[in-house]
Order: sequence, then C-alpha cells, then structure tokens
Amino acid sequence: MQNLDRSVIRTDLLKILDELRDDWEFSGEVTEESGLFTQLEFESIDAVALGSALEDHYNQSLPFAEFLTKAAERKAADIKVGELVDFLTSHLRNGEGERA
Amino acid sequence: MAKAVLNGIDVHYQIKGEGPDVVLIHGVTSTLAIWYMKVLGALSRRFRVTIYDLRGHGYSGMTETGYTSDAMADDLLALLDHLGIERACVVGHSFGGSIALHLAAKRPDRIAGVVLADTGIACLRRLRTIEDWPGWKNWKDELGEYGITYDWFVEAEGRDVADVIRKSFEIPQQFGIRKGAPRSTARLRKLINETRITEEFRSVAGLTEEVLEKIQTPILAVYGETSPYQKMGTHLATVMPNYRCKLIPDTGHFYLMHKVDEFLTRIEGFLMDPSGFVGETEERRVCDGTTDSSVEPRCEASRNGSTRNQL
Repeated sequence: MQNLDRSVIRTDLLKILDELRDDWEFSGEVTEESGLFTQLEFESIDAVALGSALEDHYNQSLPFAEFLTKAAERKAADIKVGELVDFLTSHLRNGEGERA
Repeated sequence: MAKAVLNGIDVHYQIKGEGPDVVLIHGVTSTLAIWYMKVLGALSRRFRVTIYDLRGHGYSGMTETGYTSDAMADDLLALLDHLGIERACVVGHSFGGSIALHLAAKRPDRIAGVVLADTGIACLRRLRTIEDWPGWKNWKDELGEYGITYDWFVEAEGRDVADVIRKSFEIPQQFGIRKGAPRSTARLRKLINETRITEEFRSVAGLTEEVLEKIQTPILAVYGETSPYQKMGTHLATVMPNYRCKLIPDTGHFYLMHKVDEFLTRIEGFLMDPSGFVGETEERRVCDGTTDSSVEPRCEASRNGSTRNQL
C-alpha cells in the first residue's frame, strides 16, 4: 500500500476522532498531547470503536488490541494522541496485514 | 462499527475469526471492551467469536427496563438469529453468565456449552455475603480510603445496590487500559440513575435452582479463589448435572483484567468439545485448580455425593 506521511495520518486521526464524538461525548480541543482516557474522557469501549474506525478508514487490519494491551501494562496506562499517530505511522507504512 | 436493531434497540457487536461459534457476554456496568484486548484475539485463532454490548451498555441502546437475565437472554437469542448462528458456546463474565444460563434453560438447542466466568446468580444470593467473602481482607484498606467500611457495605448493599455502585464510581479504575482514570462516566451514571437495571439484574426472573437442575447443557465454571461468588461455584456442582468448576488461585472477581491467560488455559478444551469435557463420572465434577486446602473439602462434598444444598 502507499506509504502515508505522519502529518496526513495525524489529520486523518483527528478527523476520525471528530466523527466519533456523537458516541463518545467529548467536546474539548484534541492535540497530540491529549491523553485518550484521562483528558479526552475515553471509556474502554471508545478505544475499541476507534480501533474499528481506523481499520475501516484504512481498510487494513491493525494490531490495535496489542497496542492497547501494551499500554495497559505500563504503570501509567493512558495513551496520548501522538502515540496513536506514531503507531499508525509505523503500521500503515509497513502495510502489514492488509484486509482481504 | 456493526450494529443490529434487535428487540427495539441498537445492539453493537464485533465478530472475529473462523470456526465453531463462541459468543462472549460482559457483566453489568462493563462493555465488550473487556474481551477486546486479549480474549478476542486468542479465541479467534480457533473460533468465530462474537462480542457485543449488552442493552444499556457501551454503544448499544439504553431502555428504562429489560435488564433481567430473562430479558437479556431474549436479546442474546435475537442476536444469534440475526447473525445466523444456529448453536454456540457462550462465555459470560459475572451477570453475563446468568444470561447464558437463562438462554440454555429456555433454548437448549441453541447453546452448545456455557462458561461461567465468576458468575453471581440471583437465586444463590444467600451464598454471597461479605462475612465470608475471602477477598474482603485484600480490599478493605483500599476501600476504607473511600469511606467504604464493612458496616457501610453491609448496610448499603442490603438497602440498594445502586448506592454501592454509585460509591464505586468514586474509586479510580484499578486495572486495564483506564487504570487510574475515573470509574464514573456519563453513560454509567445514566444507566444506574435512569434505568431499572440495579433491581432487575438482581432479580431471580425465573432462573431458580429448580430450573438450573434441569439444564443439561455442559457448563464449565471458572471462579477466582477470593471472589465473593466463589461459594456459588462450588455449590453449583451439587445442583447442575453437567457441570465442572475450576478455580484460579490468588485472584478475585476481576481476573479477566489481570489473569486472563490462566482463564484462557482453563476454557480452551471445553470450548473445543463441551460435551466431551464434562461428559463424565461424578469424580470429574470437582473444583480444581486451587492450592487452598480450605476450598477443597467443599468440592469433595459434591464429589462424594453429599446432600444437595448443604453448602
């Protein structure tokens, strides 16, 4: 698949987060420093929905559950939006696990 | 995001994998996310796994009523019909297990086996008391910081479990991806404050011991050794005909959050062949997997054919 620039992915992600707001009930500003759970008030289910939305948007399977699991095992479990951009940049560039 | 309109509400679900059908049901105030990080990925290597948000939870629709195990078994049946699933093994955490049992009682043709993951059953509430909750000693200091004392807990639970749940909202999440974040969310507050869930999910709703005795579906129960519901697990060995119980040492009700690999190890063989797993002699109806000698004698009681309901 075509490699994606980090800035393009960042823009995509912010747009997808914006589209999820109806279900996810948050109205503040979102930056790369925003923590999904502590600042953006994500519930676990919002993270699952975000993973599905990202896979649908890029039409590609992503190791999103593993990404969340690793974060949960850290002392501070929260995930910053910037980390998510890095995760996507890494995995989308590799073109791993494209959907059939 | 997949949703189906079932029994008048949107039901949010996900499906992953290929193979025999397995459906996972979360407990009250949880969501399908409890399965997402590890269980879904692990089981989907061998099974077609469906996870869904119960009525009132996650991204499924919320109604004022409809939260008994009976009503939610109807929701599960509607989901099976919608997805064309003729027969499935169902794994239920906590109240999710009661929903699975209720459907096994109503429609045994649709349920190949049930895994009870630390399930509390309304008709056995007499067995769940704080006085003999093995895990209380593990939690009392931490809960005390939030004003939850033994006396408060006993009084509040007896009066209205909604107060206990509201109080728990003040305690940050202990495990998982939201560790340290507030437990209380807008959805949860709405569910507890604006619906009848707290009275309905604790009602027997027809799932009596007499009904449980008649369920021929293979059942595997996995309880945390220090869970407040552990006594129900050992008692069910004297009630249900095709039942096997396992314990996970040194953990309580929420082992899915921090001992999930031990859970998966215990259920995989059952999910592959539920009837073969429990189709057996009386001797195999014991609870095992514990190193606590105080637990074993109760399990031995069922193995030796002692009088029912003695526990």
